[in-house]
Amino acid sequence: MTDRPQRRPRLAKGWVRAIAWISGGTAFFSALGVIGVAPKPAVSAPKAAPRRVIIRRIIKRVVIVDPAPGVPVVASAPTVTSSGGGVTSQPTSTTGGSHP
Amino acid sequence: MTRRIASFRAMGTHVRLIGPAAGGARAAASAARAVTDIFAREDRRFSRFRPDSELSRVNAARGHEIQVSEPFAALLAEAIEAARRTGGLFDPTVLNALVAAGYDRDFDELLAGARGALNPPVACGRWDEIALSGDRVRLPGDVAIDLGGIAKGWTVDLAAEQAVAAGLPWALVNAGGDLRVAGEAPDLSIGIEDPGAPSLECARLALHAGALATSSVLSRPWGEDMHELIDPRTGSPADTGILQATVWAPTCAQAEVLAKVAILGGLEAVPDLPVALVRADGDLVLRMQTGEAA
Repeated sequence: MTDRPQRRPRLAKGWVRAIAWISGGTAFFSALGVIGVAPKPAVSAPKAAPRRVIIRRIIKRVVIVDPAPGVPVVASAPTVTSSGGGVTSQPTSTTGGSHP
Repeated sequence: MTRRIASFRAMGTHVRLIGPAAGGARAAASAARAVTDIFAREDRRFSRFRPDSELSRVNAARGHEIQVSEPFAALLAEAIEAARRTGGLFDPTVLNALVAAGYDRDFDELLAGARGALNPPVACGRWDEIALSGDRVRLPGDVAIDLGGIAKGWTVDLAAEQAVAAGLPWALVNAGGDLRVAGEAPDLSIGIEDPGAPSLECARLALHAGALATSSVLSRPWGEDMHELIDPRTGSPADTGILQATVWAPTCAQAEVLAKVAILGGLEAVPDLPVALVRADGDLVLRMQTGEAA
């Protein structure tokens, strides 16, 4: 008969879990601590001014010349056109210069 | 009621097929497939940015006679005839001038950086030296052709007609503002974009047949006063005091030609046709009948 070597005692499952939670939590909070104690910039960045979208309409006046006989009919056109659209509901389609 | 049946990119632009909301699903699917295939096929034929396109092959063979496909010969004949009818205001031989002005690459690359002209203006007006006989073409040795706009209009016409042949009662095909209605359509509401603010409309039309095309010198500039509309009289980007022209014609290929001609020559250059012009002084000139809102 030979003597079997003695096994090292194993930690209980609960202990292993507890150690994992403690080490994970410590790592997480120590990172927050580093961020908290890091030096701040002396002057905070200036707030960006809210962007204004400027739409510049070109049309100032509508001139209707002798109507040509043909299929399309002008359904609506702006009368004064420095700002604001003349029509509100969505058209079926639009035509403009060669859209990319 | 209308619905968008297909939407895709082709020829460097957005293409949309619109039809009746109540059309059958099978007809709509068949029409969508036909329209997509037609744009892919005609782009392969007419693109100047594809080295393997038929157009590139013809330009590479300048100075020599070359055989072309029947559709290529048909559209080239239409372009030459349009040049003759408009006294050269429409000119398919502006390619060298266009490249000299800086439009030497696909538009997505061009817009990546503003630039000026690459070279001094190049003389145009050589369309009457193109020899076209049946399916044989011979360009002069120092001339190259660009069929970009008229080819797009031609493709829109083919696509709209094919969509109806596929079973839709009517169809509207719009390729970046060049549009054609085919079949028995109701009055469709079409907005003309304001050239200064394309998200807004400067007028709205009711259209149930034919085609509309719009040319603008503001829509795709790549530098100060640099845009794709070459004035064949100067060989430089047009500066005529007209910023945008929308023209109605029976076909989109015709409307495409006439929209350019209207920018270059004003109302007098497109007599008797329904036109909307936006002038640099802020006038919107409408030569169209007025009616009830669509």
